[in-house]
Amino acid sequence: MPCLRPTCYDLGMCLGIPGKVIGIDGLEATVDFFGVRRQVRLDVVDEPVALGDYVLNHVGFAIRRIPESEVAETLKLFAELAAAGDDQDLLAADLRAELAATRKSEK
Amino acid sequence: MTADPGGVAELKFRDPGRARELTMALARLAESRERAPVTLMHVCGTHEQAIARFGLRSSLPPGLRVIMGPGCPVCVTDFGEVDEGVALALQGVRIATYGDMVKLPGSSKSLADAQTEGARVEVVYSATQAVELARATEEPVVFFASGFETTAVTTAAILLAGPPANFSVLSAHKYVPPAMEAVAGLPDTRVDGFLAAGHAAVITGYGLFEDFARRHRTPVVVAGFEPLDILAGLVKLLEMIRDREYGVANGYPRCVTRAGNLRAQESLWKVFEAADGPWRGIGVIPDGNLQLRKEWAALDARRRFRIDVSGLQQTERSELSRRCLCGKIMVGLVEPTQCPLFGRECVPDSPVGACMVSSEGTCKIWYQYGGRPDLGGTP
Repeated sequence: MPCLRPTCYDLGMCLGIPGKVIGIDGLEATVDFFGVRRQVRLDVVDEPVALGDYVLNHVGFAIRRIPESEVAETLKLFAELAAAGDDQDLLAADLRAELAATRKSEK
Repeated sequence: MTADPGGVAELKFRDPGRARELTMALARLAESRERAPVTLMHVCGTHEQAIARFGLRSSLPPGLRVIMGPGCPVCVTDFGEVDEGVALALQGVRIATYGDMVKLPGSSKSLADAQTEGARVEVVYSATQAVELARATEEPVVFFASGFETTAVTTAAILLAGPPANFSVLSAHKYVPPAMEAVAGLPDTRVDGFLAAGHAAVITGYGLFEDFARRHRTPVVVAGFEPLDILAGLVKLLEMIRDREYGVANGYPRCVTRAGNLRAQESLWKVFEAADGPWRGIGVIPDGNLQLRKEWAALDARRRFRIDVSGLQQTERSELSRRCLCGKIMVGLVEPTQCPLFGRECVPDSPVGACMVSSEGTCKIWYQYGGRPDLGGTP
């Protein structure tokens, strides 16, 4: 879950997190991040994004479509970081900030 | 919740065979060099986080140094830029900004100081959230925006999407390639190879570094953020140095292409233009700042408001702040532990310099992951 306490204010300026596209509505996509559904914007990503694609996201925007065949290792790393990090772990805190940058999904 | 050390070890050596191969290759390559030590520079806070978190420096052979360059956009935000944000906030304008910017010291005050004097400063995690703040009110909202090109493209995107009229941007966005140029040109810094930041290269493409590598006779490798990506990037750099191959290698092909994200580049340059500007602790970097183009004057806080920073800049910088070595740390001349303030007068809760403020600052990363993280391999 995104942490919104003051100690978690840090924001990685170039971290980026991968997620799977499970819905598209115009310039917004619903993306699954390790089981958490969030809305991200599609203004910046350059390739057409389809349901089931993986995208790399930064501060609430998809910046790159990632081939599914190459995403598995990355996903494992991020899922573990998301689960393991405490407030002192900057990499994990930046990852939570990236999630906090996305909009909550209504659905 | 605390980090599970077992988990970290597992991550570091998810593919232990591959990790062993890579560290052995590093050792062989470093040993075969006639001229030691070799210094490799990366320019990304996330790389430093991964190196420190996963203890990668302990895997480096003697004679190989890996240092961080100006890879923290918050750290290089100049005093004058912070002063502009603080002045606007103290004038009563609502400020939305990324969290790391709040504690960043200006000439005499930070945004956090302004907050205690009653100014309204709100932390956002995205440009979209800043626009939402503006939509929810009639009064002016200024988005004090920081970050390298990867983040600047998102600021460009919200401007192109048509924000409300009460919204404007105070840009402290920075552009990485000119800073690499500046570091490579410094007489005191000898960098033998650069590890370029993967996610900035997602936007700009790796082709951008080809001319740089040729001119400075310094290889560049674009690398991802996983421990094995970083080790593989270092191996590739040592091979290129050995073979005098002064070009660019893409070690992150799953995300980076030669041309980069053309749509993002088009948006970026439609909204921003490169301008000379001071980087904190480093000096003026030609074309290092991203400022709004004239066509966007109506949404440019610098053109829209009279920002008077003179009251903030009259005081002398404190004795402590003059002893801060952030500038030298950011160009790789000294390490955080060589700063007399590190971990003593300067800690994350009361930072003296910008490098201890941001989660991407070298000092904060070293402090947070235990002082001098696993520097077994440095000379």
